[in-house]
Amino acid sequence: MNKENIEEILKCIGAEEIPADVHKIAQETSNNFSSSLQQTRQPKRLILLEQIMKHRISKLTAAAAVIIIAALIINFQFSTSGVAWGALAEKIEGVESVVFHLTANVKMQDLPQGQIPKTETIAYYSSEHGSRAECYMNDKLSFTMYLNPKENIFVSVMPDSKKFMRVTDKSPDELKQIAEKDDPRVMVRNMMSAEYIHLGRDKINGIDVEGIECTGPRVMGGMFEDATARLWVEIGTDFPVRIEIEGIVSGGQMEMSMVIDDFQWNVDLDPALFVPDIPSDYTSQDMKVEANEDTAINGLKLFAELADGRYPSNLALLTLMKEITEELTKKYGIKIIEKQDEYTSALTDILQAGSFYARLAGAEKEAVYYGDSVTSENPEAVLLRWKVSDNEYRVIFGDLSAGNVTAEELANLEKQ
Amino acid sequence: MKQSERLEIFEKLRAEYSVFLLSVLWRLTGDRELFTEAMQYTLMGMWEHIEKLNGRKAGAYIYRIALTANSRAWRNRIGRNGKFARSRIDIDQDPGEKLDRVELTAKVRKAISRLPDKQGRAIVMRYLEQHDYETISEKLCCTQASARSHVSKALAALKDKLATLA
Repeated sequence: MNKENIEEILKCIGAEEIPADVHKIAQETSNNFSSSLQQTRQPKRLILLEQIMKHRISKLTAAAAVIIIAALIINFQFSTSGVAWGALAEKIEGVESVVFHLTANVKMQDLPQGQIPKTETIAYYSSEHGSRAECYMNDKLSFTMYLNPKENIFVSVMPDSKKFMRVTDKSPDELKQIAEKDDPRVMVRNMMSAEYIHLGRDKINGIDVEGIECTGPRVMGGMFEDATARLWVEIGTDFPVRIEIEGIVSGGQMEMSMVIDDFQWNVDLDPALFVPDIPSDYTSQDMKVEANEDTAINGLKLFAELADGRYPSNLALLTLMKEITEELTKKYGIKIIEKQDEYTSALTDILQAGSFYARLAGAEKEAVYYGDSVTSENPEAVLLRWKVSDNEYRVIFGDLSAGNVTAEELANLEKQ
Repeated sequence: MKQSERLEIFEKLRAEYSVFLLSVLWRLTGDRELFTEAMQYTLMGMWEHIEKLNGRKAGAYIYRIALTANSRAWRNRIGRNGKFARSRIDIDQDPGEKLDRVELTAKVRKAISRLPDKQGRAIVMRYLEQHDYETISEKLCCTQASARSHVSKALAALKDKLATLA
């Protein structure tokens, strides 16, 4: 490169418009700093370093957000008791293909909004060819996930790290179950069979719509401490136009909101879209998707090792994310940014416990978790339990051993 | 200096230089995370050197503080092993692969963060702030010929640094 090229680039940089959100970030950063200086008598340098550390933690949150989104896509479920909403479910069942757009935002208290990346996903579903989901973070492609039970394909391709993850230990039936959770037709069916209230009529982008709303911790299968989901359907065609989901953690300290819209129903999709595109220089990486009892126990064990024997206070995914971040911050202090790989790995493993719990909650197996009161110092106490048959429960104890007990035995154990 | 006096000066400077810091730090970083970190380091630097900023030379000091903060933010992008951390402005190490415009711009920004103090300020004033040489010479307290020399040396240094990064 010669001097002229460099000058040209420098001139372009000098002429760049400053994006509106950067003005906001600058203002928030500056105001936060100023407030910290005025509000406390602690040594100022320490406070300022704390501010910088909070910013660095938000970078880790970026990595976590991607994992959470992947988990949400895989575990998308609603509670399934209650009344059905007309014949809409049947209509959606007949759909051959659909494309939609999902936007997800995470908000954390004390962090300027601009520091946490916006995550967007474009998803394609075909009953013939399977699914493809492209996940973007701040407009840059983070990963593309391909899932086709018929061809036994479950692959994620990550261009940033030049890696791909291929799941090879699942049968076509198991992949079909995963794919169903990820299928918007199933989302709509489940949502409409949940308990809901009518929201009446409204307009979205000039389209006349009618909506329903489900609320409570069980919406989204226990992923949040509390959540609200709304489904808006076009009057006349009866096709969904928009799904809105809002979930909170720690009494609102952390919030996640998602909007699914830009639906295109029964659109022609090129089969080539569903064929994994893996460049030859990409390397393979293990993929953990199966949330089961063993992976849940492993996740709880890892957390307890990080937290001196304490277990997560609850298993909502965002709470897990928050508590893992806090524990790693306690362990490494300001050096945490250098531990991004360890953080991502721990988060992936520990979230398995959350995904497993979400699955149990979604399946209405009377799952109850006691992490807020049970630690590894209570080996006989019930940490997590769920129903396996009419009079039998499976229990994970405080020492992370597991066993089956009768309903009477469980009642006695839970009295202790 | 009393704490209240320090706070008063800091607030005054914060208001006075907010547009300058936004403009220069964004152009030097081009990345929201880096920008925020550089902004935080700049504010911390201003607070720590507040006594020196209560006078006519405040602007020159703040310029230096901002450029040092920018260098520090960029340095934090490099891992312990001396390699770049994975990030969305990560630079491809494969010399055979053609860099696109975005990557090239990120490289130029990174190379600016490694320039010596005067060269860094000269290049920022000339291209990122688009000042003429008369203004640059006043701000750098040197002759116009020296200002031109700093800019020229900085361009040559950037060329060398970009060659080593390729």
